[in-house]
Amino acid sequence: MNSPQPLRILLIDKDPERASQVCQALRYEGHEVIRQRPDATGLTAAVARDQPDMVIIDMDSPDRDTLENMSTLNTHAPRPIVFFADQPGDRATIHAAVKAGVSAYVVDGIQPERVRSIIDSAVAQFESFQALRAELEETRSALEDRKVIEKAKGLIMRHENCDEETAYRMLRSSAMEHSERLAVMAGRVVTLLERRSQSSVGSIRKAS
Amino acid sequence: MVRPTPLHKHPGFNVRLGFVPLLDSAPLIVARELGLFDAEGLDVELVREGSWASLRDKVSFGLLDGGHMLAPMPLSMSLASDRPKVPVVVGMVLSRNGNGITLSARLHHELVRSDTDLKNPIATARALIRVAKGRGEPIRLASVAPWSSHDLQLRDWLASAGPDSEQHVQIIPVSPIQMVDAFRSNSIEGCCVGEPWNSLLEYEELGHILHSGHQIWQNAPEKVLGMRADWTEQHDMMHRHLLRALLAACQWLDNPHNHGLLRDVLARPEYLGEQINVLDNHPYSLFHPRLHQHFFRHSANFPWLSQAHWLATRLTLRGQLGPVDDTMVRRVIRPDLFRDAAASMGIDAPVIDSKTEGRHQLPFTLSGRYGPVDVASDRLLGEHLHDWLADNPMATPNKEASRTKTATKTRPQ
Repeated sequence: MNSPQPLRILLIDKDPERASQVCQALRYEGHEVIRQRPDATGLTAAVARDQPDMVIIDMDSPDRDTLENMSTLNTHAPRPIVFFADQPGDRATIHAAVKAGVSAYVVDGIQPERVRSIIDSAVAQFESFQALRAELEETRSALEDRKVIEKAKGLIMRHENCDEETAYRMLRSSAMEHSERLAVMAGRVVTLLERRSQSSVGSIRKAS
Repeated sequence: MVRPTPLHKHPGFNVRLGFVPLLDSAPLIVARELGLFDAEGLDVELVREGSWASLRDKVSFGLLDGGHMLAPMPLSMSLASDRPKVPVVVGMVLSRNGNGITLSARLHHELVRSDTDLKNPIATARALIRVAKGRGEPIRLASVAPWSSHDLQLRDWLASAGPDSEQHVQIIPVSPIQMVDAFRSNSIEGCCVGEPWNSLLEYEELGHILHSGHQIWQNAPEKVLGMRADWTEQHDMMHRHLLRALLAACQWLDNPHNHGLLRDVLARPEYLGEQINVLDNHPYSLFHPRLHQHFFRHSANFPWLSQAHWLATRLTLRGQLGPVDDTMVRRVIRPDLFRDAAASMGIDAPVIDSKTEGRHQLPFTLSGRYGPVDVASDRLLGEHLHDWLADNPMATPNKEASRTKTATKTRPQ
């Protein structure tokens, strides 16, 4: 992608890892990226000093209202990208950006296609980061699930005096009966059996 | 705590509402925590937003159905001419007052020394300009979001010192969360911001509250419930239930006996969190007595067309909107929806939609559908009168005078 002139982009993201990804992707496309962490009035000062063509900022940042305010005070300040959402193509791009948590501010006079391509790549980075995070979360909860299932199996084995396979089968069939996830049922079994074993181990043994 | 009657949720009654973690987002939080949404059969998801811009964008693109909004925001979203319009409907006001103009300790001290009457906003604005002229350097003040009552009140206050006052003041945008830091680093010398930030600045001994927003526009609507217009068209029943739940929450909030519990709820990390905890040692607890923040009394929730029009004229004056007429305001602000929801709860509302803003120095009474209703005073800085009455097809125009029982009685409240 050889654009006539690289755009100068100010990137503000409180998540440093995600910021590096976005930064790398945009630099790869030939843009100049300034990264900074704004402080008290740093953002206003930074926009005035660096005069970026575009500001990309994460949706959750409270600095967004500062940028909105700048754009009303100063006609040269970058304006929010959502204000340009009047064309169908732009609307889809901006919708994706809002959904992914990317917000952007653009100065007047930059070609819409260039803006769109920058936003698209920022959105792609944000989304892949999101996916990565979701995957991590999933792995973590899968591990937790396995742990609790193992524990429930152990308790059932001791309680029912059976082997591992029988214990697992019992757990699975009761999960199916209650139409619950296996891990959820295992959690219940653990709570139930642990409480019982604490209070009156003997009587349960007899009852079963 | 209020225990709602057991309920059944209506299928499909899910709403996503955004809020910005400020003291005046309390109606939404309370409605959820007390089960008031549940009692109306609503399944409400509250989404915390870091900025008003983010809330606006999510409402515009359908990721939220509506939420807690700055009073001028629905006007700016619905009537903008320089960008795609997003029609928003306001069925109720959530809170009135709560803003403060806070000056740095040093600047405040300078005004005290200059023997200015600190109770008179016009006198202080003039004194401030004199300070700026004297030192030959503009006063640096901070403002928050552009379409906010804070920004508009700050500018009205400064303008009261005379036409050239803006030259001696530099207004810098700073987000509320960074206000304390900006004061500490001396990059600003004053601001107009909502609570709890004024109280925090005082508590940290960085500033003093010079004026309350109440002294600029008495009992002005501060936050409103703004819902996307297409959503309200498709879900009129749900909207009505939403108004009912929030009205009950506002009523609960005006009772000081509930403030202890309110504080505990707001302090939870998913709501306001730490910023409230800092106020634990603050002598005024949650609500600063000078700011007159309230949620229910004196028909606080009634969405006056005339107040919305007043806000619109301020936005127009600051170049944020073109001229705004009766039909435009009426599309956004819906006193009819409010009246209907309130009446279903036995809460009466004024029968007129607009009044002369600025004329009432004291709380007064107006005719409601079922009897007299109390309405708050509405003085505007500089004894300004906003004499604009919407043409109401239901009533002959300019009937306020005959309907108003001129208020001389002050009620202790």
